[in-house]
Amino acid sequence: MSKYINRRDFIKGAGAAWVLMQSPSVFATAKLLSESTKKPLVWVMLRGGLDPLHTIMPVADPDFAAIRGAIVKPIEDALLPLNQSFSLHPDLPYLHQLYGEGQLSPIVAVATGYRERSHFEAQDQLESGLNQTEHENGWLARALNAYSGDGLALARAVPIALRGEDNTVQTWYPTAFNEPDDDLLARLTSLYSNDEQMGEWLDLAKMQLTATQGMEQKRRTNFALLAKSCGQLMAQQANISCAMLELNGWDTHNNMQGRLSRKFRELDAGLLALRESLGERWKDTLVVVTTEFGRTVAINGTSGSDHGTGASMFLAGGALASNAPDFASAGVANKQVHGSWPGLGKDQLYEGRDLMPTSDTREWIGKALKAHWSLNKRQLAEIFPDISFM
Amino acid sequence: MISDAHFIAANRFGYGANDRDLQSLNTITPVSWLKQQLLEPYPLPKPAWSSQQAITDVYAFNTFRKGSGLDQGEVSKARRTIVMKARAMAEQSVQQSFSTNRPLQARLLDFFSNHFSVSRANLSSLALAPTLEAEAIAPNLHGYFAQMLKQVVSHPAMIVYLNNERSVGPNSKVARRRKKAGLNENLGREVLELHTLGVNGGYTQQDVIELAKALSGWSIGNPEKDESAGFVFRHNAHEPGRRTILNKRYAQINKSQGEAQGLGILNDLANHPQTAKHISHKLAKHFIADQPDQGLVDAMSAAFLSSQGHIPSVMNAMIDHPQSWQMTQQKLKTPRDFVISACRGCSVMSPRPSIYQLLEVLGQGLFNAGSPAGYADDASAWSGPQALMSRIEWSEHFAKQVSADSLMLAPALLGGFLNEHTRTQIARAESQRQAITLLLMSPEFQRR
Repeated sequence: MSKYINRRDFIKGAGAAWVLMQSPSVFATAKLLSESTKKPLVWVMLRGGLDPLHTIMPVADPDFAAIRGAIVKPIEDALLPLNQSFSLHPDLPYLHQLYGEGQLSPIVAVATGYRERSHFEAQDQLESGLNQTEHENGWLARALNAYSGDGLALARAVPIALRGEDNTVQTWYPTAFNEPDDDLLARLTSLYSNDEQMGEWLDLAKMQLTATQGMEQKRRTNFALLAKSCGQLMAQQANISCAMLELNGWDTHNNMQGRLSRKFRELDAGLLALRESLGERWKDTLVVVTTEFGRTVAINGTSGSDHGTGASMFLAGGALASNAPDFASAGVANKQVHGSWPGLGKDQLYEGRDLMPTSDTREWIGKALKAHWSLNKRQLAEIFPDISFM
Repeated sequence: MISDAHFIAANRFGYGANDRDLQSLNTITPVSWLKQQLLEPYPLPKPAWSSQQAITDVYAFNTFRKGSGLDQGEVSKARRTIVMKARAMAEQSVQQSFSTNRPLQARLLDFFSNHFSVSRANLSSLALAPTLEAEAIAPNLHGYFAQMLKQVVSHPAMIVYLNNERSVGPNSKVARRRKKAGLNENLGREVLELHTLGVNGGYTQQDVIELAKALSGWSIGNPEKDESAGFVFRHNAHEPGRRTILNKRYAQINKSQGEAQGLGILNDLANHPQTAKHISHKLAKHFIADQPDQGLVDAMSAAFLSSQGHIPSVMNAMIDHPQSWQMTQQKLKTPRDFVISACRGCSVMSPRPSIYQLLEVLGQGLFNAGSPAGYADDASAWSGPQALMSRIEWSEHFAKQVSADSLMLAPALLGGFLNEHTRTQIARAESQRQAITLLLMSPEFQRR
């Protein structure tokens, strides 16, 4: 199992950072971060199966209008063009802005090794990053081993992706109860004066509390709040090198146009919140956005789509621009839509119904990690053993 | 006279002392108080529902859902009915721990329920999960591990959770008819890796395949097709021929002997020395310390082997071992045990929010481990700054619901373990509510 923070050396480092944050000297803080800062990786997992065609729309595909016209027509004039072939959904304006800044790489027609259509199995397998599910062996944990630093999950328990040997993983999630006031915290500090371990946990908990303070966290936990907290925790703790965020609700079997509009605004606002809260660290950040599988190409009887195969994904973040040459040489240059488009003709579909996957989700994550964390072929093979990296 | 040993018996082996425990402890030695709890099956209240009802309801729901012209609202309502029944059943056994006079056995029920973890992965496994402990574990806590294993592995909840219902032997009649049918190794693998020998227990991939073949055809009936809503052995899906596992041969079976081949293998696996070690280590880790004393584990393991896996005998070996009675509190309570011991100790029988919601918040949702390995028993998996803060916040919220006086409660809950420093902090609190919060969050109450 992953280890939560309890190492003495880290406590000391974090404690030092904490003191500096409190001091007015911005210079001192910046220096501390630059000495030990890891390049952040944030994985956003969209649970439920994001509809690929309604996200990165293949406007130039000759069959697209006939298949999807009914739900695309009303928003047609507002689409956000990426290039001559693809446009983004109008409710993703911030992603579109990132694309213009060279900080977004959309990728089409991807899938993992999974070819059934169960959410549960597909998600677990994507979290494992293997061709079969191993519940205690996640790809993000293996990536962390190859790089360095600690992991963070914006979740109540450590998700499969971050489970593995020898990792330090923190979790953070807004609770349903009120935060303790300063008086109680002071009394607990005194209560734990003879208990080293509980005292350490309390010290760190107080830091987390301050990092995420002043946020409306009680009533509604939305994605923007989680993204903002993620950024704040990473901005404050230089030792955290990767984080996992989750956003549910993509299983749009009905009324897809309306539902996806709302979900896209949530995702878009979340990425903006992440950027703002990460502050200086954003320019070194890589964000990976994936979903467990795509959906059927055809619209079903309830104006939605059903579980499918080929999906869309995004790479995003300041690192794509600030480290553009490395990403380009790894095959994921910015300002470009990646992935080979299979077409929407009946005979071009997977099993006659789904978008045909033309590349593996994990291959793209691997390429991005190669550029971002300077990982070599052997390390990538340990993270994704079922993928062969050139 | 209530001694420190009485408090260890109540806390380390149970969910903490309440008034009634203290009264019964007054007249009996701690060792006998523990041992006499293990003699009979664990008395669960009349179950809220059963695996048979769960299967019937889920199949009926699936038929209903496929009907034409259905209102989405009606479907959600029907689904919700099933979800709520399963939830009520799951809560029932936790609730019972608040007041049971067999707290040791209640802990064992939780232990084995987690050892044979089933999660709510989809509607069928969600519906079936809470019936496993009631039907296959609780009735065997006073008996033999082999019996428990056989009943668990053939229980619909486990079969569905690990997808064995569609596991088809490659040379069976069904496989010859249907091209896509094949063997599913899930159940066979987890039996070896998690339930019996343990991950380094000396078995091979070939053993996994052989066990999966032996278990092929172990399925559940479809009541919509007039089959019984429970375990069925599908001879036509069973892989014919004899099996070899851990170098031992198991004969071919015919129709009339049904699942005998698989049961014979499970029986031998249950009594294997490696299984004895694995189960004993997990038990010692659960009750005593994250890194239990090897002498203690060896003593339990020896008792396991000489008694053919008699669970009370294994537990007696733990109870009789001096390592189990160290004054040092080595084990941090799990979120679940922390909450149960708080409710039990403070006599709050219906906490708000419900125990079901609360355990989700604290990261140990009921039947939601999401892995057949269950929830980890190392403190590192569920402790840390965020976990501590959640406990603090809940304790403060919960303290409002406690009517007992903190100054009376502290010695009653902790006895001689209450140290002077903590006593002072509690006495100096600004309110009764703050005092209860400090008591529940004290290192002495957090550990056992």
